[in-house]
Amino acid sequence: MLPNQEGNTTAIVERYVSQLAQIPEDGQHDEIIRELLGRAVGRLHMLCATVLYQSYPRLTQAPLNLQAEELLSSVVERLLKAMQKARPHGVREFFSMANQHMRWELNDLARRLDKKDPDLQLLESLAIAPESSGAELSQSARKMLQAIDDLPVDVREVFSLVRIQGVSQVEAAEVLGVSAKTVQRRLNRSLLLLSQSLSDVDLRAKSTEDE
Amino acid sequence: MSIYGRSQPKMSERSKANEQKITELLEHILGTNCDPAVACAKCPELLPELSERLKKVRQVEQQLNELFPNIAEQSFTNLAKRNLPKIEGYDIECLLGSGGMGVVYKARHQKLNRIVALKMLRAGQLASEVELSRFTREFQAIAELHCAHIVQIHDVGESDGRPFFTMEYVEGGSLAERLNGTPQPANQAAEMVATLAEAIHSAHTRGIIHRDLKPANILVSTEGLLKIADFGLARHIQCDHPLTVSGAKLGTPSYMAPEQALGTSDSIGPSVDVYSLGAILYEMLTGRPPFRAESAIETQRQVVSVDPVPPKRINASVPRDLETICLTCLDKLPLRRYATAGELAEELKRFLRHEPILARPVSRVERVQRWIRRNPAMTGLVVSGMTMTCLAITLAIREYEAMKQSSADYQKWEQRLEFVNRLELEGRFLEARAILGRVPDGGSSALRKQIERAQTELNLAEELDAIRMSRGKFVQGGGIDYDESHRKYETTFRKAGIGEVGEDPEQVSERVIASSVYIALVAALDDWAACAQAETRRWILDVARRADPNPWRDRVRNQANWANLEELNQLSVEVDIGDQPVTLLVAMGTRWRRLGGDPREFLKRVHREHPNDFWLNFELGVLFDASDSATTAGYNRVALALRPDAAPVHFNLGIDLAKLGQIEDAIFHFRRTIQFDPQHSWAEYQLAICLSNSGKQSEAVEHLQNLLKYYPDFRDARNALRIALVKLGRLKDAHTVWQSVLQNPSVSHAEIDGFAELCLHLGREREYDQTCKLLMERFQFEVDPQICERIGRACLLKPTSESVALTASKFIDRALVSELPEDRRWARPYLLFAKALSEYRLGRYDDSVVLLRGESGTILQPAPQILLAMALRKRGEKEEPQSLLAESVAILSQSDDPNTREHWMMIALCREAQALVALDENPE
Repeated sequence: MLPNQEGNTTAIVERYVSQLAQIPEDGQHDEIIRELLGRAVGRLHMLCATVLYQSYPRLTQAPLNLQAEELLSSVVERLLKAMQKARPHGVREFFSMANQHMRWELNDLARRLDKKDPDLQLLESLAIAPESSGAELSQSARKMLQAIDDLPVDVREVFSLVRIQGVSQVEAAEVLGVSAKTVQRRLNRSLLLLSQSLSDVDLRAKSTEDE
Repeated sequence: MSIYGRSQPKMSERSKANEQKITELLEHILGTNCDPAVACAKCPELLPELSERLKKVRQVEQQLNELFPNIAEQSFTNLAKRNLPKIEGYDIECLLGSGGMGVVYKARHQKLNRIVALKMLRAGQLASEVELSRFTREFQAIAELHCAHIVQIHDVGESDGRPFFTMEYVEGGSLAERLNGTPQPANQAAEMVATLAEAIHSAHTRGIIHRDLKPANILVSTEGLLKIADFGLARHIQCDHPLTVSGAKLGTPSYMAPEQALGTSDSIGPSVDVYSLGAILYEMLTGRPPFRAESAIETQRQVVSVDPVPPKRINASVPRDLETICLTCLDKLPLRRYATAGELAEELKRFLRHEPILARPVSRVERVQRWIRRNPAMTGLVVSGMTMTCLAITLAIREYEAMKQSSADYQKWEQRLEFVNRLELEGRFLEARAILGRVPDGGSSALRKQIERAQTELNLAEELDAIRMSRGKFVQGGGIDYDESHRKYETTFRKAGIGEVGEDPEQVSERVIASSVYIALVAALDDWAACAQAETRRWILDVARRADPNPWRDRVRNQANWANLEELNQLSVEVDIGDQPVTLLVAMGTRWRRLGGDPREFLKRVHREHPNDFWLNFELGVLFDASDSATTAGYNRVALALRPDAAPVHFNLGIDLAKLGQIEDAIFHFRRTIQFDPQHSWAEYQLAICLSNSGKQSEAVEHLQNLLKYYPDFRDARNALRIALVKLGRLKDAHTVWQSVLQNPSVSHAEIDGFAELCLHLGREREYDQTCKLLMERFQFEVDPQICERIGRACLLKPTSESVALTASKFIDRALVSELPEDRRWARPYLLFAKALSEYRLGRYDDSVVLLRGESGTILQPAPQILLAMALRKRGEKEEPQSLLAESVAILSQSDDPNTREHWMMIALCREAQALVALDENPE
């Protein structure tokens, strides 16, 4: 057995994808898809939990009891459905589908959380300004996700693999069939484009205020 | 479009070439990580803008890191490795496999740099210390076996209470994988089993019995060498409970000797291994083990009481002698088998050398005799079958007559029981119980049975209702414990004999339908489904669907729709609320909410039909909280009227009232919450906040301290305690609490803000310096203007090194360049005051004076005045500083709240100013 065989992302995903392809269209193949998606879901779970628990810890308490677990049970179903309808024909396509869904779901989560009111605030006489609520954080999260959606396709693909799926740069290069250098270049490009488009968002918001 | 727009109008005039150049430079810097100044060496005019752009890029990067954290840690490679245990002395490389006994990892011995297979037993299998030491002792004995065909044990140990041992790592596979259902040539099979028998014999001579020989435990190295693994493990793991293990987990008992399968463990000797060797030989000859049934229990039964099919009947090419050897090993009686594994090895060798073997085949008559001996009961039954049938018929007739006699009684009470059932169905348990109490328990046995049944079912219905009603116990960190309800339902359904999760839904639903508390059971199923996790829910919904078919309800009770907001919405549009049970409607609403949707309109419609359902009011009381506390308070009050002891409702109502500004009422309900649910830490926290906000600091402190005793990680409580202590003027206590908050690496600015000032105020200068350092490091990418201002100001409250002053002033500059949002425009003079402070610290006294005489002089009095006095003094003026300072001291002494961050700041500045001005009076 090669020592790093199980660490090889492409090999793992390729195996699942080919397993998926062997199953007849109408067959019961929930198990394999579940396994295939398990990893993506795990990652999405972590990202949702980050948004939820770091930005809105109070919403996870009574009386709202929001739980990443709960929010995600529907996400899994949706991902499953999507994968059942359109089977990915390769590793790249798999990631592309998973990425898109994960961005949608994160955006949806942030939108929902924004609607919730922050809990009771402590009236702290020490603070001369009202403390910022968690809402601002996820506002920027939503802007961020929008900006990611607007990235050029090749840049977005690399960005999503590395940032959303948490694949290493080397692995991303393997999936896309490009050099690691290219991956790094596209990542840097994504950073530049995002910093630019996020500033544009701020500017627009301000100019409408001025009118 | 330019990214600077309004704030730097010149940007729009810049040529596109410059813009492109900057982008290129940025890409270069990001790619090589070089210094911007170096990258910009040829075009220094672009440096300021480049730095500015780079700063933006870094800020975005920081935000990205927050939103998509731990990039490296979550890569697929690491995902696979994440669950690997850590064992001292070993590097665990990967998982090789897992089974009933435990998990096997491939590991590297750190010191010897040797690859080993590390088997970790499941936690809790070796209960006591004694057990563990016995395990260790025996494994040391096995380690002393030196046989080429036995997997070498290297080490035995324990990690986190889980025993493990390491053994030789054999590349290749197991014999089970090799065989894979195909018969082997007879000679090869005989040779292999002879080898195994010899190896086993060598272990037997040292008193070690394997107890779990099977193809899966025999490894075949890449060179084809056989190696027996897992010696003696079965003794510790399996044999104590051979009948309770499930086939899936511990493998089938196909290779197990009958005496072992029966669990008569005292009779286990070397002959069990001889039996297993025979079973392996059997499988090699025929391609399948001697016994293999659908379930482990059935296999065990066959092992104990069925003779194996002679191998020759399955594979005609099996030599008769080899068949005899094989069946001799598989004899049910240990005494008839080969006495030792060594004898078996010898016999197989005789076969291989074409010599006559010692064993003789079993005759057909003998076989029948043996069967009768083994199955005396069965034989007896066949004989007495006729008698039994007669007896049964007689009994049945007698029972029938008894029933007929009491049918008059029965009819008399039948109607009343029916009424009881109807009451039960409607959930009117109290009334049902009252009537049931008047039903006499005498009379016929049939009637008594009916009454007992009605009582049992009434109890069941009440129990199920209690599960639903008692939900809402507060769980630290998780809100309402739906899981607990799930577990209770599971137990209650099982104990009542209705059904167990996973059982055939058709059968379970039949039992539900047959019950007189049918509606209560269906309601419980609906509520259970809303509490359970997806896997169980599928089964629950299936049972509910079969038990209570209805086109609309069938669609609600559908796993896919259950997780689909659009579908839930559609269902809510189509429903005729009056026709549907309220439990299901509420369960649907609960589900809807927990999926993140908004079922308010739907539940309001339900509420019109069922205004006094507790859980409906509870749901509505939660749902409106964000927008309309008055409305939710209404629903919560109704819920409280229905269940005055419901802690979660008291809590929710408390929150509503606090939001409505009715603090005293809120305090009452928070106190009630704690009274009914003493674990409710959030109620205690909110209570403390309300107390603190209504000026009762000491009481608030008491509650918060109590809370932190039990939940030391409750950060909000810690912050609140600190604030309350400050308000009380207990600054040293506040300092101690505050210090503990700072330990947390994810501390927010709000949590840290003011600590530096307090340190300075308490004369802890070194701690002040450290805090300033911490502030500037942790918030180096901060963009919020007010936070930047606060950090810069806090770090400049005493004379400091130039580098610190420069870093701090950068924060203030950052605050001044970013535009304040509309609702925070009022904060501008504060930013200007901070700027004046930084100018002063950098020695630009004139600039400082200009700022202090302007807008910034209007706030935080007398701070600007004190600073002005110092700046003027530094410029050489004498009189004005003195009068300004005297005036400031007077204002300061009249301050009505000396326990604020701002006051501490002023005191610090005032002390400094006094020292400075005093120099004039005492020039020496």
